[in-house]
Amino acid sequence: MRRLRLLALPTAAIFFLGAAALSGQAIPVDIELGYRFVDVSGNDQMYRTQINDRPGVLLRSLDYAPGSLGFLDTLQITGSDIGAGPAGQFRFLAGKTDTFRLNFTWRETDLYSALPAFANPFIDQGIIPGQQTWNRTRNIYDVTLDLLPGKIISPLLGYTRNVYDGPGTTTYHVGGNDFLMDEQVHSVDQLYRIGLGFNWNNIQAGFTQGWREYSWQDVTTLSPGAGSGNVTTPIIGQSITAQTITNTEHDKVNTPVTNAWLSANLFGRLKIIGTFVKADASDETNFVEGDLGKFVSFEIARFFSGLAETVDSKARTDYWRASGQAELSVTNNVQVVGGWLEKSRVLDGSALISDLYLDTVTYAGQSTGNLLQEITAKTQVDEMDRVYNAGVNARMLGPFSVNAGWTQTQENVTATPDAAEIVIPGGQGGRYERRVNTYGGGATFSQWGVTLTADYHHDEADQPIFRTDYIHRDRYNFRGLWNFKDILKVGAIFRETHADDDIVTIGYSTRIREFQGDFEVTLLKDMLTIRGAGGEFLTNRQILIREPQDFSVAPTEQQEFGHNWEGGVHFVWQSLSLDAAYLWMNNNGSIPFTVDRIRVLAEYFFTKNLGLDFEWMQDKYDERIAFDQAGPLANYNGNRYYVGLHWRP
Amino acid sequence: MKERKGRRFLRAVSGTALALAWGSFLVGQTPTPTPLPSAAPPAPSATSASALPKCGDCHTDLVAAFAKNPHARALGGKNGDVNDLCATCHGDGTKHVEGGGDASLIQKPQGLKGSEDCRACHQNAKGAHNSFDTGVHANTAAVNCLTCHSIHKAIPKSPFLLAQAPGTLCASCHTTESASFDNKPYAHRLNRGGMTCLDCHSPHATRGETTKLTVQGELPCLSCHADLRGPFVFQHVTGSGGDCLSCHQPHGSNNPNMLLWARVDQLCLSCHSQTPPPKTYGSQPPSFHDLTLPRYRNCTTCHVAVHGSNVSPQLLK
Repeated sequence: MRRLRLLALPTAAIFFLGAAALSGQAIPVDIELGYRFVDVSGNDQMYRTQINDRPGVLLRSLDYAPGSLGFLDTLQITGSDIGAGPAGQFRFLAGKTDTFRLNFTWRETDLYSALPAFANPFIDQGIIPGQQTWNRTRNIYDVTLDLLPGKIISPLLGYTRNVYDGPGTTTYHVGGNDFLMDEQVHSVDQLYRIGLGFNWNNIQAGFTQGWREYSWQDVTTLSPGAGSGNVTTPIIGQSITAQTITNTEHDKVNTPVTNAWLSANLFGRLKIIGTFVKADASDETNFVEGDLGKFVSFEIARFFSGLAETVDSKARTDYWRASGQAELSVTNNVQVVGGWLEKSRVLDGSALISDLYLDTVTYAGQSTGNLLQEITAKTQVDEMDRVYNAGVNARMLGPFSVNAGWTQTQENVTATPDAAEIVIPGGQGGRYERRVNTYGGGATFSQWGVTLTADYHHDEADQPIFRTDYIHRDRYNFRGLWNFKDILKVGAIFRETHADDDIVTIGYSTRIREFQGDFEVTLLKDMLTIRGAGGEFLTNRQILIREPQDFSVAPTEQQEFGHNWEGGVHFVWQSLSLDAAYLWMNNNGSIPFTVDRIRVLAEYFFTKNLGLDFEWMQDKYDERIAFDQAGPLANYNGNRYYVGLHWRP
Repeated sequence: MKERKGRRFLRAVSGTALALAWGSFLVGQTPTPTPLPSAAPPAPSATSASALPKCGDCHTDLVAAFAKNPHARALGGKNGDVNDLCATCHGDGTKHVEGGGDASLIQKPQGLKGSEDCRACHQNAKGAHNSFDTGVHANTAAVNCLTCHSIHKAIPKSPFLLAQAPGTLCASCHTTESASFDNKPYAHRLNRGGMTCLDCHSPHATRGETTKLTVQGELPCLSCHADLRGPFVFQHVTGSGGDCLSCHQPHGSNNPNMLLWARVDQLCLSCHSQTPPPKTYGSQPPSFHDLTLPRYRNCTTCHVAVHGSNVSPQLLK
């Protein structure tokens, strides 16, 4: 039913255009409409998590662009992938030069996740999927009206609405056990905005005042049959089970947003750019929980038969961000740049947590009745970043251009201890500072169809804030491209990053290497083109961790290394066009897998205006056995077949 | 609440009305005209123009199509005749006409030189932190306006006269990013449902500013994932020193949920391990977290609110 509603708007547009066509008008429209069949073998949930192409009616493409109509000199209606999903969009653009421009967009995305090994305490028993799944949609509507575009003053009105809702499953840890829960989420994020654009001579500016309203409702209830929880062994001689668990959370956030920028070209040589953003958000949350069952709490050292919890909390952030940059043209081709950026975010949070434990019993079996516990938790995080940069650019040295620059980033974080430290001492509060200097530069050369690019950046930090912060980092980037008379194009790119901290107690190190080469050969102009690409990737992350169960220090390693290859052909002959491609990649790292993908799209116009489309897409995912991963349980082979009509009167 | 909303609405409407009134006052005033490219001499005079064939007499389709081009709408043309506009970019066509349409006798904006002509009018890159001089895609021989934009052969759906779809254009150079979206098993649905590289990146931005921020000055992730914005009483990495990219890969990923690590426990413990010195930001889990058991290796099974929580200090709900 929802799908049918989604199709209503573009379908109405098609009928309108069709009627216009029948009345003899020439309609600059292009529509592809058809049906998608889906055939999946193996793990359908994994297919939906990664691909999620669904069967059904699909408006592949809608394009109506008359250029002008009536008093409008701009009119464009476009849409794509509306209907069977998983991601579709519709856009309406109308305007009159120097008077107004109206832009409406709607995007819908189906979000599905049912990973076999993620949040799954039973993966080693072959029970899938994990306990955190969702099947939700996100609809984003945006309308912007620009008045008097191009004039000295151009007002702006805008509204954005982002709706995220749908069911899912999650886990809830309470009373010494973890329980599978059904979850229903509904959130609406709205942003109203009004602004002014300014465009006079060489000065341009924009000012936007926005008001954001966000609401979130999350209701979770114990899943049917999940009362035994994830822990089936008794705790201190008692099985921990739940009869009912219901959690309801309502959040509301109000955020006034101010955004301003200015760009000015002065004296023909100096360009000044300034920006300012301020967004102070305030959140109010109400949470109610009601549980019945047999539970234990180590915090109060009691068994209990129920819990009634309420939480009232408030959080406020004061955020601002300001920057300024000056670009001085020393000569027509050489610019010197200097800039500064500063941003500050201060969070103040407080929560009153009231827990009423019902029918509490000591470990020794003595009844102690109901027990009320109240906690007032306060948090504060003060974050301030300051960035300075300077550089020089020479962009027209014949076929060459070069740039070099320096950036210093100063990070400061101050966190007050919060309630988490009651349970987990240390590491939450304190003041952390870090300074990073970055030096780098690059050069490009372009002549005779050959383009070469090289970049190098070196970062040097004084200390980490997080354990995964580097002390030294080097980044290399090389690219080459040769275009021979538009007959042959050959390109290659190589990129490497080394990041290390040299701190023996942390031992953080990351290596990332990527190589990709590609070619395209036009064998027959406007008729036959073949292309191919291949690459190699390597990621290696290492760090020492302290294992909680015995506080021993152990090395961990994340690895990704593999290859990808692809080849394709594009063929056009009279009314027939054909695109076909095969893609393959493998990863031999921490999650070893192989992906095979086939893409075939054929189109045949049997009349001047009407064509038949056929598409076959195949995605095969084959995962191999690895520690804590799903292995073959994740595998699937998903085939989609689309048959449709392409009408372009 | 309704009253407050009503007042807010009234304020918005009155503000709009004021803005419109001010705008209407200025409607007749246009910015000072920017000089045309120095390489382009003035358009042929009416006399000479009347003596010669017009561009559209030969280039019929091209000129007819150009009438719908934003340049034609913006620049107008004498009595609405787009033929008067051709000389703006192509220079005086008299010799070209007299030479029987000799292609070598007409100026064709190409490469860096042609793109500098574009800048004669488009000298300012509109928007915060945009620059054609020092930006990551500054106008150079390697990448320039005409690398991505096409005046006469733009694709129909393009709002910026792009020569190809944004994804195709970006992929022509950024092949590793493109390959990661095309090949890796977990990725944003790029080029479907309207999502393109331009949702997150500004091609004209200055160096170091290529990530397109929201109107609130945040990472573009929050344009869609608004539910993760907070503020949260019990904040996790986001907004307290780190950001989305501390844990996630924004392009294609080999790991579920596009995480940096395949194993969640290793991702979490890479920060949540106390092995000083030096002191770092992140607590050490207490000893009952026995990593020999799969229940504890899956940290997010219990700590479901990893992006932040307003009700649970331990991010349990």
